[in-house]
Amino acid sequence: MATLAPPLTGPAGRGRRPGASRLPRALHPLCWWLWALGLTVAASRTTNPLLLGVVLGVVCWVVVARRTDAPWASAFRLYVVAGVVVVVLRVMVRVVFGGDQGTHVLVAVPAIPLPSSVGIQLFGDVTAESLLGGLYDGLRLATMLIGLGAANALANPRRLLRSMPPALHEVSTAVVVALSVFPQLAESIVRVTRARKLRPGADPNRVAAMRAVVIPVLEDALDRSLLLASSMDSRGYGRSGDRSRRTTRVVGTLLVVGLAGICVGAYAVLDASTPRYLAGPVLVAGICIGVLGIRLSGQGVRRSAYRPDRWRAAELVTAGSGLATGLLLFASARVDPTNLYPSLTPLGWPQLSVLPVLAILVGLIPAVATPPPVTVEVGPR
Amino acid sequence: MSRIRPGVLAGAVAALALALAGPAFGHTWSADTTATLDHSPASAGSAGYCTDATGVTVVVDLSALGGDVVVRCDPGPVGSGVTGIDALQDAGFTVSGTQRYGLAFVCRVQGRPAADEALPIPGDPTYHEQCVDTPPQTAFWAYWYAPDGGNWTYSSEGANTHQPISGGFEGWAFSLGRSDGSAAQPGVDPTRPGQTQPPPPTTTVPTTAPATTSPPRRHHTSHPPATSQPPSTSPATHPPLTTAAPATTASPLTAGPTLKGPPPQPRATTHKHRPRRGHRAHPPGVASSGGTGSGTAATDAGARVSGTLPDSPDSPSGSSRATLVGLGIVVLLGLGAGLTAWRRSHRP
Repeated sequence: MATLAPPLTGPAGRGRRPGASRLPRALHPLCWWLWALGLTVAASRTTNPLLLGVVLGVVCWVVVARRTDAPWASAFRLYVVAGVVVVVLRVMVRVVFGGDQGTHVLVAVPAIPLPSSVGIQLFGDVTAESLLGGLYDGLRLATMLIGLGAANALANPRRLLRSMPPALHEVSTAVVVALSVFPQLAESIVRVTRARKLRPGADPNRVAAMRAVVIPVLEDALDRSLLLASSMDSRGYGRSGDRSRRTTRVVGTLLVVGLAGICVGAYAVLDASTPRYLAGPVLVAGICIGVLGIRLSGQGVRRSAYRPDRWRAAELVTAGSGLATGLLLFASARVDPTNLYPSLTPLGWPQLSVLPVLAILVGLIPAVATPPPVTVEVGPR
Repeated sequence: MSRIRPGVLAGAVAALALALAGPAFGHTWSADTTATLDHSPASAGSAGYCTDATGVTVVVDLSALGGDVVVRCDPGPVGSGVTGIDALQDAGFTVSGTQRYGLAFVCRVQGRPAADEALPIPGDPTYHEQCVDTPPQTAFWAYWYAPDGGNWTYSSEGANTHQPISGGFEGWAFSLGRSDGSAAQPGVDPTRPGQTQPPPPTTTVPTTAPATTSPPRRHHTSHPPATSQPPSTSPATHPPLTTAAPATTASPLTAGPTLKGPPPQPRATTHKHRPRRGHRAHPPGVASSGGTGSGTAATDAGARVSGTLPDSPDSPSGSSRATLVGLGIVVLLGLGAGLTAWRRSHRP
């Protein structure tokens, strides 16, 4: 729990910037999620590797500038690794199944013919077109993945849970637990591996080492989950108040249906090839049903928060910059779509347009405009 | 608590930057081929119909996009392994596939429809073709073929596997806004004009006139073409790759005296002309004059038949230098991130 103010460090203490706003503090977790979602949406609107590279650069910069020492923050590099794996896999798939596409042959590989009923062939000449196709596709997915990793690294999941409206607690508890599993596992792995290395006579055998890591990690994760559950229980989470069984069921149904509608609608809005009637109407209906469920559910629950997170200027700037990036890139798909999807056949150099680049660079604002994060002093230097 | 090593992050950023740089270097050795591909229109093929039986006449009907019907000749010969895509390219057209399937789906011919061109399709009046996935059923390039003097047949095979008929025709017609799932047919009949000269490139030809003038015709209504040619129930709904071509062989159009034969008469009666744009057809990005784009209206309008390639709006005008500038921005961002990480970890 790095957030609870052990010795503080930071430039503000030395008065590098005047003004109390530069005192280290944790931002509202929701603003980091909004920022990251904005950048993720931006990445989903293009396959231009240069634009995706700009998104990646912006995300990495903000993460290294504003993350804390918390366990979830250290999971970011795992998201980066996962992104690299995605790209490599996509390109490999193109090599295996996408041979002979295009004219710019890089490596001549004989094709393994399969019966024509299968409809595909194995291998074949490795062409620049198919490799770049896999790269563009994979890079987009990797960028979106790393964007979500940035949200996980920057936002404190426990405070995120706390700042949810009381009515959402039932849903958001599950969501937050699910979201924080990966970072917790990552942190466990780091800890257990380090402990194993410090022990004398570490087993060089990889398989045995694997067993020595996996079991403590799983046990650790289970312990933490139980700890989290009991601490949440003691704080009154999951308590439905004195509602009747019927109301609980109606509220649950409304919330789930509303969430499903929002998911389908959001997907349809983002994916241009989905029928339009799935986009607007379903999204609006999902939001309405969800809000209704929240209203009903909120009637029976009363909670108070100790030191609630507040939305101040830095939070507004952060959330606004991410949303602006997403909206601007969404708009540029209509205004100036020429360079968002670079052509592979014929092969062309990917180009940058000014509007999308500026839109993405807006997402860099939180790296400088927000107060530095609260960090723990680690050991003597 | 483990402090995160910034080196790991900086390394990851650098690796990603390298991964981005990789394709750029990949391009450098293929750049000259790209260049020749871009300039091929000037050299490949010849304007007008083919004059012998070895070549393949390629008809590209841009009328749904407000352009000409372009007739060019791929001199051939058609050997084994030669495909419809080859014929199209050898006749001088540039072809773009989709990002996901390559040239298995033809997405643009001669740069049309351009990425910034609004296409009025049912349900989306400002559809922009980005060539990422399969083009929609209401705005796609329909692929036809025909023997000399025969009928247009909607190809059941993809253009990247179908072998053109030597001396025959390959037809590409942009099908726009046909909600019944039919495909547009090329606006000229597939008959080579004997050994005469190719049609004068500037002549105006009513593309639908033949339907009423050529006598031996069973399907009178079938030629504001394609609305009935591929039966609307047939799965002409997809661009090339779908199966089950409508069997159009029944229509006895073989009699062949077509208007395209001898130099066609300019007709004063064809009035829905689009404004003449001079010889070079479209500037990039001119939206198709939407009104005529729906249903059969597009084919009712007269379209000019020309042998000259229109300018391709998507010819990759950008140079490798612009890409390097973009790469520079990415690397700068990576360096900035690395520097920030370094400063945070070395704070006194």
